Amino acid sequence: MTKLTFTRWRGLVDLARDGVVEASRAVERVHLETAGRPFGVLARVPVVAPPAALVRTIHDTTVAAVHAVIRVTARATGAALDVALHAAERFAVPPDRYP
Amino acid sequence: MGAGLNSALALLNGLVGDELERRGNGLVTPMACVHRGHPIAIDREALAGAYTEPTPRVVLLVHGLMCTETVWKFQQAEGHGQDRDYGALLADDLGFTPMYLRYNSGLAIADNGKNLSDLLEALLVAYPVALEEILLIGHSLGGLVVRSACEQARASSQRWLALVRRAIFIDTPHLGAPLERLGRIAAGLLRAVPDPYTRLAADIGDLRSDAINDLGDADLRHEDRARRRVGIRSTGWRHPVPLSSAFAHYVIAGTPPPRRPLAAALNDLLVPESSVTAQHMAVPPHRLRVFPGVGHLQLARHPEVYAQIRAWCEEAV
Repeated sequence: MTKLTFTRWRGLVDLARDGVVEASRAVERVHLETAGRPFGVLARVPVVAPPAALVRTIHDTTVAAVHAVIRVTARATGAALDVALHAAERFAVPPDRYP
Repeated sequence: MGAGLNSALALLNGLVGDELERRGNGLVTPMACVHRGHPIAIDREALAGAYTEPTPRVVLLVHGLMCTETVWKFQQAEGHGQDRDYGALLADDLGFTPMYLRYNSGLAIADNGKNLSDLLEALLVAYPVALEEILLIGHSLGGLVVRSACEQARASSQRWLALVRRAIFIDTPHLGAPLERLGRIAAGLLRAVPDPYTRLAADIGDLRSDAINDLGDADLRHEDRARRRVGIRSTGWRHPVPLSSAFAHYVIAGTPPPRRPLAAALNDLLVPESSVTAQHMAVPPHRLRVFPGVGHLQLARHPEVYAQIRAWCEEAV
């Protein structure tokens, strides 16, 4: 009978963390490319180009920061769960069988 | 929970098992022979403990993509008890010792073939009695893994290959699966559209495992990937690795019941008969059997299929 061992729990945590990190990267890329289209058009209009460039910089920085926070949070949560799983494993597995 | 967890892990490994392996993820299913639900080490002590009455003839059953060894278990409605399968029946009827492989079905076929070849070489040394015959039965992708293992064993002169007299391939797409080649075309088209959302869809499609990629052209060796086809037709194409001449090949194919047109269409894209029967690969007609009305998964646990397997195993080769 297959059980959800500590190794598999750690695998599950790693999978969730990697999934969030990779999804965040993909969504950020789509977000920036999508927003880049209207900003690209505005950049060709002489009068609105300078303020549009400023708005774009603020927009892109905000998007990048939000996704960076998501990724850092995912990694930190993953690391915390990893520590908790190691502690639980030490508690659950007799010392002579601990790897 | 065990069976459900096994199935979930098998699904995950089949989908992205290559990536899990690269990242060293703990959800990877390492290749092992499974006895009564537990992986067993290939060493003399473990094998002697698991198989109390080992016979000189071993049958190894290799499951397909996203499956586990439970794919072989008969359902009650299929004419045998739930604990019966081709391995157990061959043990009772012909004295084979049944062994069931469990592995990460998302790895490249060539990688699983290498692992299987090494496992069988280790088995040859560790098996409690002198081995006289190894019967290989592969279902779907499992058949390609068997062929890859045989090819790599031939290339590296491994000794176990000399003990194989028969290999039985059940609904194995020897010439590739058109659905995967269709997926490649779709991904290429999506990527060609200058739109971030279609590119995202293509990226998601490209997450599929190395094994799924290999299924498109039945790539048994890493070098075969360089000559991948464009197009979905299975005819008019020659596989670069011929069937081994060292032992007899037997091919079993099926078609879903006609009342299920959607399943029939999917079957044609996944395992078309022309691919399963290995057209041009010279399988003699008496070693090829098509079961009309028996679907892809049912072929792995069907009384009539077993009767055919038994009859072939009773023939002299």
